Amino acid sequence: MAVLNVDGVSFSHGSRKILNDLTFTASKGEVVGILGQNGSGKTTLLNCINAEYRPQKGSVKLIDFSKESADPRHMNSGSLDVRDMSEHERSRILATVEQDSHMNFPFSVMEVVKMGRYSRAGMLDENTDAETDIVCSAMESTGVLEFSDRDVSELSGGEWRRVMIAQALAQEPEILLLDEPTLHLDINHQFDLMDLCRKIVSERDILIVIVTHDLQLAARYCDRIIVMKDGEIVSMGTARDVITEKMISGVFGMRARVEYDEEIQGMSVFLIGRSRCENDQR
Amino acid sequence: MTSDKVLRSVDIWMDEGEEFDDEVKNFRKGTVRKIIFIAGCIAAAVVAAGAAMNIGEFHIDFFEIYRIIWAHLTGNVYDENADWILWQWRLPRICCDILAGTGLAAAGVVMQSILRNPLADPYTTGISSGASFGATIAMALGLSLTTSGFAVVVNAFFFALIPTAVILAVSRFKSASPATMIMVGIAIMYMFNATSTLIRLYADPDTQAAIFAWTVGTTDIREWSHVVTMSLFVAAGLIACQLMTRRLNVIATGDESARSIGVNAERLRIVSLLVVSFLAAGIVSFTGLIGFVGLVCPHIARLIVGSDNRYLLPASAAFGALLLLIADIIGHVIVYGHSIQVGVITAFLGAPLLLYLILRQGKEVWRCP
Repeated sequence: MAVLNVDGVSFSHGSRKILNDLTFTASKGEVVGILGQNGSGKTTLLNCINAEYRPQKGSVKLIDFSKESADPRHMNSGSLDVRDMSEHERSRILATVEQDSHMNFPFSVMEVVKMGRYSRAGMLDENTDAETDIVCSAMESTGVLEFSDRDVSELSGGEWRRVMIAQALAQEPEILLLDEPTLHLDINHQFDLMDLCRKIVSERDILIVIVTHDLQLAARYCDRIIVMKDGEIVSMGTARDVITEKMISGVFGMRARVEYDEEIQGMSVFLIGRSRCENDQR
Repeated sequence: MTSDKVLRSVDIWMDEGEEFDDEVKNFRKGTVRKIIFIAGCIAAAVVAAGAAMNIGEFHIDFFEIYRIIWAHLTGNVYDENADWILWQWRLPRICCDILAGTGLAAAGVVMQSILRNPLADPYTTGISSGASFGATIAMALGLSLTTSGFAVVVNAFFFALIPTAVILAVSRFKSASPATMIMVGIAIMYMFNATSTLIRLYADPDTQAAIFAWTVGTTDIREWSHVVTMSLFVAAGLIACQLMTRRLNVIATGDESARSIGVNAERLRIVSLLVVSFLAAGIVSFTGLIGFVGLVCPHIARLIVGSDNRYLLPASAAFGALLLLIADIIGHVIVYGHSIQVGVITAFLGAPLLLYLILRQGKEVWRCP
């Protein structure tokens, strides 16, 4: 059971402190949402998890990942710091879909998704049936199979996002990090995408970590939520425990009505307006 | 009853096998088209090589040329004169065309991919100029290509590393646009070219004419030893490039994405630019500055083959050989009795394309950031 263990991570850019002593764990089979306003350090945290940044203090460890994914020299270690792994090794366990990636070259959708197989398949066996099946089923589950031979530079923002998720799935990761996956998407595509995340978690039994500032989607689709403010974790737990009217007014400065909705089987958040309570009156 | 079950399971099994059939078929069809383009370029290059060898005072029939070469290779020469003319005068030049064309075009593909810059090639970024400067210094110091070809090339390689280091430094700035990088390259090119000219001013006056030809880029070499040395460098460089193509694909979505897929982007950038410098040094030391082959060929090949570097690299290389052979033919027939250096012809072809790409930046064949 793959576990992501973030232990006392602090990160600062020059003299500006961005993350301050964050600690949490997440394990596979769940969708974890990292929620917070702009500038709360969500994306920085994500970049510490995928080893893009080196935290000044603390560590990010991967525990109990499958042995085939690790390099031979790491076969027997139960937990590994992400910074001790090579890109090649890390990419078999951890996949990231960035917020704003773009493609400079006219590749076809299929070619882009196939790139995700880089760390799994060798140069010679990448055209075998098994490989093609993995690539195609990744494309099928994100719904990009029907335009598999289109040029990626012709795609809309939402289609491109889905292609990037298909590429990440083709990596067969145990942990999938998504940075603001619903940004710039139409409302129906936002829901499609979150439904897709739930489907992936139940089908592939992996951990998905979603960074988002969208309260309603997080409340509804995430199993567990970590709320961040000014580089610190203010609240953490199941969606039902964390998403409260008090938290929303404290962190987001919004008055809201929150209730458990039977029909959607999740928390439903109704935003009323700017709160004129505790925080602002000070 | 049992037969029903069997039939049903056979159906399911068949369905599973054909699950992604259409997509896979489409994809394979695309691959076949790419291979056809590569094969077509190679075939056209063979014909063009024959046509290029056909030109000259001493007339040899077109098909006779291939027969004579074959006869020489198998060891039973039947026409001494024609054999001597072909092997001593024409064939080294043709080999040089092919080697320089493939090498420079491949280097162009690698540079455009790794720098994500549609304007990059060894010439526009100044790598060729650096190499040419290194070769000039080596020759001014008394090393000759015939007796110590390797030493000259190695020196050229070390001087090609100077513009390479500058490119690496510039590519670290996120704000550096493709055009900025090329402007830096052109500045470097001027500096090296001026210094090279200065050195050549003090060279032996008898060799001035030869040096002039070398400055504009010529494939007119007569020595087989040059061809052999050059082919060693080009072959090694091409193999190294082809081995990097999968990684070069991955880098297309940016450094961070590449790392997430499992490629060390920084290291790949350094290694691939080293390989490009190596290739450029191996070619430029013998031919001088042949410009724009590395710019034109990848762009044309990309239109037909697409961006997958595994196919784009061989396609562009094959097209590069064809292009230089055609430039060679044009250079030999356009003015009667004189031959014009291939470098002049490629500049006529390449400079307009560079201009077009700069003017249309942001909307051209592939997008710029």
